[in-house]
Amino acid sequence: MYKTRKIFLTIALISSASVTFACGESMIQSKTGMRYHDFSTRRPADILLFSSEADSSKQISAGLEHAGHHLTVVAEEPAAVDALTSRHFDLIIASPKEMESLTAHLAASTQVPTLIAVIDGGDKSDAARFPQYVYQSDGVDKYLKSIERTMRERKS
Amino acid sequence: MTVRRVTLALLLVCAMISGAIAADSEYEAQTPSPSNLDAPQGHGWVSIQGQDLYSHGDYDGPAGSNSGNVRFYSLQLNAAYFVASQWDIHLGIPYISSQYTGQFAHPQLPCPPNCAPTEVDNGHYHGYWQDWDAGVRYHADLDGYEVAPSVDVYVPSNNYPFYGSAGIGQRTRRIGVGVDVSHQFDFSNIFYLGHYQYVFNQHVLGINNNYNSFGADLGYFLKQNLSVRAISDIKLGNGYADSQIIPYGPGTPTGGINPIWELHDKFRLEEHADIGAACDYVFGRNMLSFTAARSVWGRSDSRLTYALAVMLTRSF
Repeated sequence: MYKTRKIFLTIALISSASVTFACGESMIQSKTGMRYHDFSTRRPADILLFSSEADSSKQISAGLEHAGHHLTVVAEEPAAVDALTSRHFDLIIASPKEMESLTAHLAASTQVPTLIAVIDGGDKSDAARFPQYVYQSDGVDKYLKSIERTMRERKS
Repeated sequence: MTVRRVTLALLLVCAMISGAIAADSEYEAQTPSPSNLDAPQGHGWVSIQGQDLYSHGDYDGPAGSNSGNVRFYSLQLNAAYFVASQWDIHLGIPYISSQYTGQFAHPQLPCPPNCAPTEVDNGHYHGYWQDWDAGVRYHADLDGYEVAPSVDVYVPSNNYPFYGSAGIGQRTRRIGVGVDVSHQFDFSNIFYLGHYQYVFNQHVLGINNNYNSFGADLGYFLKQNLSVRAISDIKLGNGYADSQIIPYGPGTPTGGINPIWELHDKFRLEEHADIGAACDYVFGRNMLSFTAARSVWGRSDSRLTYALAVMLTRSF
């Protein structure tokens, strides 16, 4: 019986010249996906946000703080001057009108913060006056991009 | 014995699923996961993955596309634990059930000399636990680029059959040294994942069968908790091509009774390139991933017609 099976096996082996090699991958490399990351700055800035519009400044400041920046929010000129006197800021975000009110104080400062103007989209002259600006209608992302660009230039 | 293994697997699966169902409903971006490197000590993740692979024919084999069909159903269990901030240890093991159908099954070889089993190619499903994967990984955040080098050790969990078209693995010990990279572009919903691993494979008959495994995924967040990816995975390396194995095969004067043929499944080249798509959905601490892929190129490897995978990962 064993001999018969062996002969049959030998015949089978010889006849199966086209034996398969289909031995291959038994699993694919299936990696897990990525979790969404809110933008987080790698260049945290000390920012003075000078805005008389409480609602929009609240929304913007929350977004900038969430990204890792340190915010001081003021709504009036005396408070802005007090803040500038008491500590150093990397950036000031304010409208052109509000910035003008701080001009005298900034001129006397030894370390002048970089200004990011919040301008009206319809006024092209403001855009020409300020190297860094955002529009009043811009969302937090535009502010963050402008801050990133400014901080990168300051570091370099 | 097999019943006990299956029961153990089912218990583990049930435990993981019940834990996942009890998940938090809110989106938790900061929970650690394989791709979230804000990974505090004492946390980690567990995952369970099911795959369905179907291969039809070979890329280079002598029977080519007519060499038969192989189906693999697998269930993979993985867990990682952060033993220190940024350092995880992880462990995983797949259970794979396979079936070969076709005209060219690996023939049974005489026993002795090596008693290479061929019952895996008899048209029925056969399931085995495959290789343990134990490793350590370091997670670094390099200016927004998440880089995770790792070392993994793969050890066969048992003497599963390696000889056959439906063999579930090479049954070799391996050490993999690799790195994972992931990055989401600033102010963008676009991200990418990359992986590379060099695997030092246990040499058989002195034949170098080390290989590289690498790939890249390009993804887009449709929502904060829903993303899609285009994926790729490539394996290139060393080993015997089919043209080197054929002279020792069953159709030759030796009748396949020689070490090269008996052990060829341990060092066959098996190079391939797979592409596909994936979708990831995050709910609470869980991520549910769906993947579909197929091979577009191969050398001395089976021709992967399609692969489907679903994976549930839960962070803790």
